[in-house]
Amino acid sequence: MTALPMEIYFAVGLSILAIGLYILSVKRNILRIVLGIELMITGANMTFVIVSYWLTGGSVDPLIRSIIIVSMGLASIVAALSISFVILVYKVFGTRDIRKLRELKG
Amino acid sequence: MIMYADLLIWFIPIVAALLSPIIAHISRKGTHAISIIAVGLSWVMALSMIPDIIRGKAYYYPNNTVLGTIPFANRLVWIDLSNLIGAKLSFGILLDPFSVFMANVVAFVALWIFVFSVGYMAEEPDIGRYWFLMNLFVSSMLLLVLSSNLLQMFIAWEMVGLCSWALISFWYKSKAPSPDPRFKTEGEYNAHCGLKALITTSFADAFFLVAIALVGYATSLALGSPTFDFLELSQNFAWIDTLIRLGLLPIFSIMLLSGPLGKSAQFPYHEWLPEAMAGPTTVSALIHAATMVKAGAYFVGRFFVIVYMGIHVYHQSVPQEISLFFVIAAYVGAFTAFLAGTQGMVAKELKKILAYSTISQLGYIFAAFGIAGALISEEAFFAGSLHILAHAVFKALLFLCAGAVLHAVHTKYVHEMGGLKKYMPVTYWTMMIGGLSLSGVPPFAGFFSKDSIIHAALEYTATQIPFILLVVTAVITVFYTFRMIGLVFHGEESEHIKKLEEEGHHVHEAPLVMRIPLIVLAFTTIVVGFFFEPIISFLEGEFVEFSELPHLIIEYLYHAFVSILFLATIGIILVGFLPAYFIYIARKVDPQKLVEGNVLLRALYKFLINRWYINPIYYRIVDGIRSIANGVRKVQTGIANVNVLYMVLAFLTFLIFLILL
Amino acid sequence: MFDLIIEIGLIIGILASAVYVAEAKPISRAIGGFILFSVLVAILYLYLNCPYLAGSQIAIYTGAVAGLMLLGMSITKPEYPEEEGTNKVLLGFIIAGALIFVSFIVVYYSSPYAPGITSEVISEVLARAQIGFGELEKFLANYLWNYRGFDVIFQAVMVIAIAAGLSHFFKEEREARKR
Repeated sequence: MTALPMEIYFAVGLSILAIGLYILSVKRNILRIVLGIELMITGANMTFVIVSYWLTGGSVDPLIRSIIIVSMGLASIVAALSISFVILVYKVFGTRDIRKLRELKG
Repeated sequence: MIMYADLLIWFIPIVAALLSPIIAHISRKGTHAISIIAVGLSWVMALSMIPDIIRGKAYYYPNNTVLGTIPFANRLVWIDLSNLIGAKLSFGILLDPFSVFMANVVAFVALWIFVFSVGYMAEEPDIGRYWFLMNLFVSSMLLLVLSSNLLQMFIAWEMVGLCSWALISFWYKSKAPSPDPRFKTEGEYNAHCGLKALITTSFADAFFLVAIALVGYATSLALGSPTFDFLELSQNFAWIDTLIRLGLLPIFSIMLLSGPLGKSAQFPYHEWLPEAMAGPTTVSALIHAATMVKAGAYFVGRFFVIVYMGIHVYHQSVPQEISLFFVIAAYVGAFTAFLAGTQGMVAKELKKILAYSTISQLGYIFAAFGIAGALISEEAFFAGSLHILAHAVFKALLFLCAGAVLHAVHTKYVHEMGGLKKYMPVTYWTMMIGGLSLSGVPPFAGFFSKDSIIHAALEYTATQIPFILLVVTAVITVFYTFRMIGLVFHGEESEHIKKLEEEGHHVHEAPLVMRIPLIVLAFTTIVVGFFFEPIISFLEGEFVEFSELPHLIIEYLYHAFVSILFLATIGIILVGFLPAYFIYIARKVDPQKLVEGNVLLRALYKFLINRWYINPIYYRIVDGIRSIANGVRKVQTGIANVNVLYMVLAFLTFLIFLILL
Repeated sequence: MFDLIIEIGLIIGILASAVYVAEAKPISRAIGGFILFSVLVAILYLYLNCPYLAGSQIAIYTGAVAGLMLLGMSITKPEYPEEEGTNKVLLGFIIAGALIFVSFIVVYYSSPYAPGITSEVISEVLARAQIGFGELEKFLANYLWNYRGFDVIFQAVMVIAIAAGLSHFFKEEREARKR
């Protein structure tokens, strides 16, 4: 087990999720938003590892490790597709600011 | 019945509906063939259900496996939550004299309308979409009349509403100038008419859904588990007592009635049917004359059957308060018949006259079923059902004739036609037969059914208001029918027709494929009147020996013709016919001068031509709601960040809710 | 002692680089912060005895994702420097603080001293709801489920959809060729 109590690590994991969500809800630049999505996925993975380390008192369950490998693979796919969207949006609208893309305004 | 006929009757048209858009790209005649074969097979299946009712047990034809005794609901339990909340959701087909009767009416009329529309929609590019929607409509209408529980009937109810909307707005791409100043093109006007129908019926159906939920709630309190099945509702009336105990029965009756009133275009939901004439004429014939608008009347009849079977078969005691539902239906029906009849007297478009006539005749049917429920009498119920059959046949005939006329003349205004008698003899004679049947002239079918409804109204002795309104409406009906025939076929040709003839578009008779349904339906409306007695015994579920049939028919005719009411009917017809003859057929009196000369008539004319000023009130309500909606729309800003914040807010609310509970 | 320094350093580094990703004005610096973040997370995984995960983290995040970000940034570069920055930082901090607070509540409720909705209730509800079978329906259910009738139905739906799409496509081709 670690020197610091594990609740702090758990709170860190959830905080990374929170910061990712903050980026998603406040920032304008599309690239920063994609970074925020990646941050959130990393935060979720981190929380898995931390909780597994916590509950089994020192080692991480192999099942969790495999789940996280899959999750990381999916994260890379999400990033690839998002970047292609970013490039297309730039080609069509000419801007990197999502506050200018208001086609779905009610 | 033929093996699995209860499943195939609505399944075959759905398969045809799914195949139509694909095959429309390959071969046009293929789609026509598939649709007509599908609805023909549905008619055969519906016919094969008749021997079941006569013999009193439901069985499959080839191997004679008996399924049960009539009334029989062939149910499939879909979700069984008996252990959890004690409810079962099932999907079933009810084999009962009334539903098999309605299925036959629907399938028969649909078949001939499909044959007519092969000729009517011959130059239509979007024929795949047309056949898809028509087949889907036939399937859901058959599902509606054959369904065994309220929820399934409601699902089919909404599906017919959807097909009706899509078919009214069928020509939404048209770029012709719009007849209404609020819209730019005719396409937009058609789309608006479709939306008006959809929104009016959906508004009515919202109350209907609440009433259905109340049925579920009351049955769950009374019987321990909620049930929507018609047979189970009539077996035990404890749910009605529960509703009375909760004090909810008046509201429940009004809300339950709201659905049928909306679907059948009765007051106060009657404004969508005249606008719905913007769709193709075959659509108006099938949906807005013969079948969909009968769905509301079917439900009132079905509720009467529930009450009646509960009293006579399961020996329950029915509380008196349930008759509120039927009394309101009777009054609303009679009033609407009068309201629509007066509007039909001055209408300027051919199809609008027929639309008002439909609303008026449906008012008759509602009045009949209402009186049946108020007095718990079988004769009024039979009168209403027979009028459903007769009206479906002659109104479909009249709409198809109107379609033939519109196809030839290319205008929809009645004052631009005239003198078509020598160009279109077959159409003239079939329309005359339909008009005579509508007016209730003996010995056509309309006479027998309308006569029995007025006879039933006479027996309703609480007040005589329905009787008076129905009699006055009968006079008005004769008047506007012959006004319509006179303006279209008699007299001189109008300017429009003379211009058409000069340009070379000769006004010709309809092609053969359009003439055949007219002749078949005219023949049916002449003949079916004589078969009403066997149909009545069919509805009663009694078996009649074949040799007794002629004797029964002659007895029925004797009772119909030799009575005081018969003379009164002849009087009514003459009172309505003579003014129409002099003004419109013989053209001896000019209606314009007649109306202008008299102040009272001029005010009456203005009141009627503006549709009793009811329409502007509805539009003002709609505009008010639209401005509220425009305010609420500002929540959707289109900024992605704001949407993420809404998601976070929702998630937080959910989490707090979860923790606090 | 040494452990404590590494742990505190890791935690502060992770949080600080995440905040830097959020707040840095130029995008390139944000991506740099993200690279630092993923490396630190990989070191965290190494510290928690998962070397395979750490290698995977570096390969995928620092390698693929950050590279993709740089590619995206360089392709969509405008000619003029664009404005960056928000004026709603306070709102953002409040929301982030609320989320961290919520995460602490979740931590508290997941401890054995404060039980909430457990999975037992959910599984009990699911076990009681059954799909009912009847007479003829048993045959249908058997066919649909055991003999994979559902597959046949779905394949039929797929075939019909593909046929519809193809026929529409060929019709348009034919019309385009006619013109």
